[in-house]
Amino acid sequence: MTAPMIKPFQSPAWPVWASLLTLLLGLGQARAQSTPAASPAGASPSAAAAPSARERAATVKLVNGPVLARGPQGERPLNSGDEVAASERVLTGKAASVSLVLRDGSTLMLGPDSAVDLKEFRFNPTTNDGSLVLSVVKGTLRMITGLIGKTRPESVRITTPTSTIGVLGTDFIVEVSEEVQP
Amino acid sequence: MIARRLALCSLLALTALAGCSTPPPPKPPVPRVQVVLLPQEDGRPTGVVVQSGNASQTLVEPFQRASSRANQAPVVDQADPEQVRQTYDPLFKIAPPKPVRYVLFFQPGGTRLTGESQAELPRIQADTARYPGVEILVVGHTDTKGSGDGNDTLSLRRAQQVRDLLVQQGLPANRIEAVGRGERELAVSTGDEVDEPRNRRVEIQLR
Repeated sequence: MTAPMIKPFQSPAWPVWASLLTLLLGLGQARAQSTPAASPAGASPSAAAAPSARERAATVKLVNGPVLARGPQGERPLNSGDEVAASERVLTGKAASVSLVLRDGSTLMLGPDSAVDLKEFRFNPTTNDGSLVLSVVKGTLRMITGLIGKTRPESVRITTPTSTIGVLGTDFIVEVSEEVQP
Repeated sequence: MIARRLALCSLLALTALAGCSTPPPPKPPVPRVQVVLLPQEDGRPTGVVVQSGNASQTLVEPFQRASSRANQAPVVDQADPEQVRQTYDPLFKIAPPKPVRYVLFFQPGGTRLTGESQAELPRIQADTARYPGVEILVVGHTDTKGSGDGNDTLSLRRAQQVRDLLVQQGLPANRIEAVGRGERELAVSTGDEVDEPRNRRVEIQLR
């Protein structure tokens, strides 16, 4: 089934097709944005804007040096007390570090020159049920797991460029570094 | 590309017998991941499972370390505690202060605090200053009198009541979260339909 579909990707004409397709998609998007009236009746205008209202997943505690959050809305510096949403990336500068507490009480500590994605966070404080997926892109992360780790440890996962880490209610460090091949 | 170069090399080698002396280009750096298990402060059993290259290793002893490269099984060894503290010093220095808990009690059936608990509020307000980016978590609980759903509602009302009292103390409303846990987390375990004052409570956590 998939074999014939791959063919165009291999042919030299593919880049031409791709740029044409991108152009078409881009035009389609621009059209959709310029005609808000085309949205189905009954859908409130705020529904489209919903993703911009960040839902708090974590609160910034201690900040040492320049620390940023990067998300769909761009980049912003993080200060003590700021909120971070699921789908955002936290980045620390060369000599910087930061600590955050997720709504389930999980504590995250990032060392210098680090990048950690908050890929997924769902938490129900009445049942203490939820799920948490972090991705350590580079640098160091120390994590003390919180209530989701107690109630549903199988729903807590940390991914790295080489491995996946599962927890059994715990305090640990992850370091992602680069190694020169012999 | 590579095949063509190889073919060219072998052709050159055959004709000139000088071989192909161009050094290979330096390989790009590859990611390496280390996971170190730290001791649990309360001494409870703990652990992490590290999975890479279709194999997994479980760390259960403090300072056990798993190292992994792409598509290779993790390799486990024992790290030196002092070296871990030095290498990862920023991760220990940036740890936020330990959360603190208070328990407030209620008069039966409703959302009215006992006199003693009411008198604790100013101290809680003062303690928030020690927590940068403070969050105030207010979690309501009930005893086992009444239905589960009814107790979910009652526990939330108790938490909201305490939240309002803390706002009156001058604490910022957007930093206070009120949650009801109903009768899921009894302080004193009892049978169903038991009037137990120690379970009619709100726990406040500053973090």
